[in-house]
Amino acid sequence: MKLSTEISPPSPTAGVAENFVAVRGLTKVFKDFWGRDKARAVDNVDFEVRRGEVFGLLGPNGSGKSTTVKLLLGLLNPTRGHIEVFGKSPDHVATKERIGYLPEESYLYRYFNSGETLQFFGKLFDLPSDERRRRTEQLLEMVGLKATQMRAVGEFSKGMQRRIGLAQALINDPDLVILDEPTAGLDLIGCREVKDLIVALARRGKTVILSSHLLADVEDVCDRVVIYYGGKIHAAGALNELLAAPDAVRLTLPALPRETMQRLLDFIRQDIVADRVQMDVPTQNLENYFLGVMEKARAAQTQTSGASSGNRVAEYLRGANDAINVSDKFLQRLTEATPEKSSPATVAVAETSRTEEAKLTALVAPPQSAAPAPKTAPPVAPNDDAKINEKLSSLLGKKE
Amino acid sequence: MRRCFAIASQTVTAAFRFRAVVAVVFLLLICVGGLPFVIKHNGTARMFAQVMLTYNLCVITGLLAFTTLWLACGTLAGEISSGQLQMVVAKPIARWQIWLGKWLGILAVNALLLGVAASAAALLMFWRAHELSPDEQKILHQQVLVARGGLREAPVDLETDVERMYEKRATMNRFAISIPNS
Repeated sequence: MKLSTEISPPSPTAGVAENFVAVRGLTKVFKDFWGRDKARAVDNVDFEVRRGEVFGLLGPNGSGKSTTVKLLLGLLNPTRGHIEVFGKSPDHVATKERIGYLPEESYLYRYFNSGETLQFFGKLFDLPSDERRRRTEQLLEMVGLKATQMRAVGEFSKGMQRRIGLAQALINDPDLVILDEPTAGLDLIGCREVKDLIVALARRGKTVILSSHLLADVEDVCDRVVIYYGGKIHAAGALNELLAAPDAVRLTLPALPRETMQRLLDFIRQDIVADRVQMDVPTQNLENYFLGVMEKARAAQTQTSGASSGNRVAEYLRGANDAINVSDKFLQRLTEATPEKSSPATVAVAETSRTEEAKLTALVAPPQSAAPAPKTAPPVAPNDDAKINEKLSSLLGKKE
Repeated sequence: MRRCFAIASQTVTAAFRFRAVVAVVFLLLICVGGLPFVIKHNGTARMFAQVMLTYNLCVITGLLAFTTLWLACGTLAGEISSGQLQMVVAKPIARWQIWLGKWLGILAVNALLLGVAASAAALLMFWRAHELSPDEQKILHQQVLVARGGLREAPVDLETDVERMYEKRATMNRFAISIPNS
């Protein structure tokens, strides 16, 4: 599979969705004592982060992801280039009221306990005391640290510190959440909870920038990614487009009788070289299997000295209309005018001729069967936005 | 200002949780209490005051200056090097508010330490004042500890009443003088 290596230039049509973050020609060069270039951490980078999307900064260690994040937050000054966050400079103090930040390391005050930590950061956001207390309780519940809230953060394990770091990043109910390696140090359950949280935030219309070198994290939650290497972006775009293999199709079928399967394979091998056809039995995802085992173990065991599993996303972060926002976001993504070429899956459907479909159906059907071919959805004109909207609305539920 | 106070409160908490305040208070009390036993006075109020006040205050000032330097460098440099300040700077708080908050926190710690040390020095002085002769004690109270007069209740202003009574008496006297003797 080949990833797109071309960065599409910013297009006027891409501005349909509001850009929360815009980066143009961003360069950061670290210099030594004598002012000579020591390391070019970020090199002429361009990207935008649109409202309501989960945006991934992906790359190996030292590729410039964390430096980019620090530049976005105004923790570092760029050598060259332009950054806008909510239309303002990253140094603009008031803008930071809308940003939640989890750094790559949990830089917490070791002598505070978890409740005091959240209270402290809540005060920095000037939250009223009642609201601060309410959010603190909900966040501790969410990250599974309510039972250990009187312990100093310095005594916490790395995973527990990560959880409290994540909680502090959400104390202000931010519009833009910047998470730098959020799952580092977390166990699998914690990783899943963080990913669920990111999805929940995205459902509420929050924008998330996720920096990670863990591909699984990014793949599970991100809408669009940029891939860094050596401070430069080597690939950018929507994740489903980058990962799609346009010249391959995967069929998942229930177990078929041996004869049917043989006929199906024979038919396929008429057109395709035998070694290009792969067949296997789908297995359960190891992560899901592990989580199932943990769920059973948790039901049997009552207490743990470490972090427990977070029960649910904090109430103030959930919002009341998750389902509506999901469908809104889905509709927006599908109907948004984008300059990119159509997705590979759509291309594959369009190219499948009716005769081949009929032949395939007849072949898979039992011999001498008079059953009619299954009904297929009528082809949809690609530019008929109204029809697409109507159909998706009926599938996802009408907006109230 | 709430953000400044949050930083100040965090600085004070850090000083207490790291036992810095406890250690400095302990050191101050040892110095204040131990110095008069090391340097003897000659029984005069002047020398007694010099040992109990001047030398003690020098030690207190030195220790507090050292504490201020230590706290200021420790809190800021430590938080920068360990990255904690990154978390704070990423929040909606201006650099000057962080600086002011730190300054207020260190000021509060210093005020507390000064209060404890000065109270201890004053109590020790009053307690040991009985070692002096009655005459020297009188000198001590009249010449050294005169500032305490400022804490006493202000005397009643009798000046107006005296003036009025004087005028009244003077009028009566003039009237009495003007009556011819028969």
